[in-house]
Amino acid sequence: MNRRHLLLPVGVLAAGAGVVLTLQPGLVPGPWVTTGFVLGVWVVGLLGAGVAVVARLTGDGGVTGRLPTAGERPAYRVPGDGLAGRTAAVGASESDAAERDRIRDRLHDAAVAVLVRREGISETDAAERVDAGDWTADSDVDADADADSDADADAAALFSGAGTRYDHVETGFAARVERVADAIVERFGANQSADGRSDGSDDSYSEVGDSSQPAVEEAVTLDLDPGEELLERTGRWRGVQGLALAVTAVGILVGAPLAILTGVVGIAFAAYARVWDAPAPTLAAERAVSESDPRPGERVEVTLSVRNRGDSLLPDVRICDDVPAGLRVVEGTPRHTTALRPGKTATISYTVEAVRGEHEFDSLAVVTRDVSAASRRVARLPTDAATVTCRPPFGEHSVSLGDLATLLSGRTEVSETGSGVAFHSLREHRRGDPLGSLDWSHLAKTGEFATRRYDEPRTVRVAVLVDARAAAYVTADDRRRRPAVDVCTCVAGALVTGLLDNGALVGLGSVGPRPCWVPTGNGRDHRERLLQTLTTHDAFGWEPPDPVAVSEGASTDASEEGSAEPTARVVRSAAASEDGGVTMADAPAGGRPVAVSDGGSAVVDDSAAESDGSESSGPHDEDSTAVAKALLDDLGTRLPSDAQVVFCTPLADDAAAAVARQLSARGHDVLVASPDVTGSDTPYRRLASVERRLRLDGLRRDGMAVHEWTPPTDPTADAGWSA
Amino acid sequence: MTLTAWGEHRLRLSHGLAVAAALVTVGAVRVGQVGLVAGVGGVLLLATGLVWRSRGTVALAGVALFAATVLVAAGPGGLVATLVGAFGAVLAADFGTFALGIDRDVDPSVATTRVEALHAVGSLTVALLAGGLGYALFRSVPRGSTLGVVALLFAAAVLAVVLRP
Repeated sequence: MNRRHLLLPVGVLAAGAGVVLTLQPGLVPGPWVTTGFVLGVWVVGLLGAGVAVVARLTGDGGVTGRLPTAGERPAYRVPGDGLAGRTAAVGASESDAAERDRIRDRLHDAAVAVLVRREGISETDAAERVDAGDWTADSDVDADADADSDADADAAALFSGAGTRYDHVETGFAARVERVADAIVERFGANQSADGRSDGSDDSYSEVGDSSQPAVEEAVTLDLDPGEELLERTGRWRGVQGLALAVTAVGILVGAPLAILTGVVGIAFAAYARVWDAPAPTLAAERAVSESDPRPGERVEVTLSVRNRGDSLLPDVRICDDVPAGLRVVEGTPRHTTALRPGKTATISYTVEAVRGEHEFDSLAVVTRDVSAASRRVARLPTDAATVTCRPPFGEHSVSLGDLATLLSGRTEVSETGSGVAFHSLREHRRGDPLGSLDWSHLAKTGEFATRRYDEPRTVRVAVLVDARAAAYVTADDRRRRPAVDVCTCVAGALVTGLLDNGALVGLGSVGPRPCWVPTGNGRDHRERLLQTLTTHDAFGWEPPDPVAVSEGASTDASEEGSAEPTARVVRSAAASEDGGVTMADAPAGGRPVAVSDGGSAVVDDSAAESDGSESSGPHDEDSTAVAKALLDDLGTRLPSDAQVVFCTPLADDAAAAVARQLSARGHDVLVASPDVTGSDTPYRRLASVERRLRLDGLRRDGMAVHEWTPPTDPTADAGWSA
Repeated sequence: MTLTAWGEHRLRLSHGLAVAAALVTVGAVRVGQVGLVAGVGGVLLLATGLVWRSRGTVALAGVALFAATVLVAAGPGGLVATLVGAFGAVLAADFGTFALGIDRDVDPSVATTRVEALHAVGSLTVALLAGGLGYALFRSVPRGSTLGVVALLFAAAVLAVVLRP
């Protein structure tokens, strides 16, 4: 027997007593019974009212039942923002000491790496100078000695804790981290980057803080699969009921009959809220797109019609078309609210801007409410698919083989001999050698038979690999939101086109959790296959492979614990995965590699560990190598042993550099094509930029060719690649 | 009805209905000075909540208006003023939070008058029916039977809890 079964007779008895006492006031029992009853109602009413009012006043920030947002790209992170978030979140107490140490270690190692690079000293000496607080002064340019002294003091306080730790409590940590990060950047000399871009002054970066740009809207997603629906109470009238109960209780206490009468309000709306449930979304949807094969930047109008195919009125139906990730709505809105009588149709239209990819519209989110709005039904309805395929004109920006050859660290040696025309060498004549290959001059000189050998014409074999891990979904502009993966994919398209035009055998692969591999080949069909793969394959999509694993895990846990099941969640940053876990810079040639920690997880790809950036395991170059080996476990077996590799990566973490090293270690000539997608408007972003530069330097020192450039932030543009 | 742009907002039917209901409440409670002050405060809170798009502030405005009604009911207020004030307060909060919910879910360019009108008609109908019932009950109940009314309210509250799905 549950609570309801116990309460039911109480309610019936109270109602009966109420009717009797109302009609026959003379039957009212003695004063003690009356007083006890009134006080009991008073206490119950006041408690219920308190709980309900507090819940109503504080419960409106939830996202359950909210119509999802659509038409904006995922919120890719800007490198460095994760460290900023972690630093802001870390407390001063002892319980956060481990996290503070991880952040401290990252800065310390970055300072050491920068000093090693800048001064050309050993790692040990650099560490000693950093520990001694004597590292920020630039021996060449020391225009601001006071500032250097302050930075030294901050760094010394940060790394040693002197003067800042009291009884395991460390104060002022975040401010010191910020200043030391700036000092590291300044010591690195990053005010001028390799291509001459001045930090904070480049046009493409100054827009980060441009107030004319619309603010990034808080994203709400719907965790339902097509065909699923969920009925839930909104709790909308709970506050009114509680308030009326409280007033009734007070009215009883002070003996004010009119105040007691206000309780009618609560009872009336309590009953109203229980009359209906939200109706089932009996909708039939049709969708049409104005252009199914647009070019990048072209506008595509989407028209969605929903018809009430049920027999009853839908008093409040809210719909949101599921706009595929990557497409931005530039005109109109994919969200609508209306009331639909049976058989009636509502039509909305909106315009999206086409970007690379195969975008399939196949569902829409629906929220229906009853007329009192006390309950709602949240659903994701499957619809007929409409597909928009946008293939960039890769060929317009192709890179010639000659251009590429100047970038590759070394072309494959042509050691094979055969039926070519270029002379290679002589060897002794063997039985069966064709008579035409005899070197008569050699015979005349020495009297010995010899056979001419010629170079075997070999076609260059190139594998173009795109870094498509979650860590590569970073952007330099958190408003326009173009991920590095898209830039790299466009570059890969240009390379593929150029290489094929020059007769090379070209293969294509992705480095990441969504496997993709197209074996090397050439010809028109192969070219089409490669470009189609770059356009449509899931590995190069706009959605990170493991978006906000932490949030998903949290919601799963909540469901398992029986708490209210969230149907929508706010994604404040799809980049909960921050800074790629491991950051590593190499010491100069001959020095031991220096591991620079970002305090994140050593696993930087598709494990949940990377996502929170708070994994406690210390990052090491061995970890990055292990990650790289795991990433290449399958792909490495597919790569032809003689293939040169072009690895397109933003180098947002150490694992990317480790992948390049692993490829080199396996005997491939490696060219790293790396778009610069770091920001420069916060100390943390500038620090991430320095760490990327250190990785680039490390790869160069390891003998790999590196080509870096600043891509345009507009996703409808090409990748900005120039050889 | 003419709907005009309101900054980045859209002035919706429910916005106007919420303010109208709040003003009706203030009109009902004007007989008591304290109630009038609380009522005017409620109207200001409501306007602030609608402009700031704060559901909590709008709900608080409903509480202030309801409190104004109760203060008047406990003092110089009459039966009709109490019922009108109480239901006006609830409707003001209801219309206001409904408008904010729509603001949150759809863009300003979307016209939602039909949905809002349906919701408003439903809430108004309930208020009129319940208000009439309360009026009749209060008029028909003999003096001295307050305990019976309390028992009925208690029963209704318990049954509402029990019968919830």
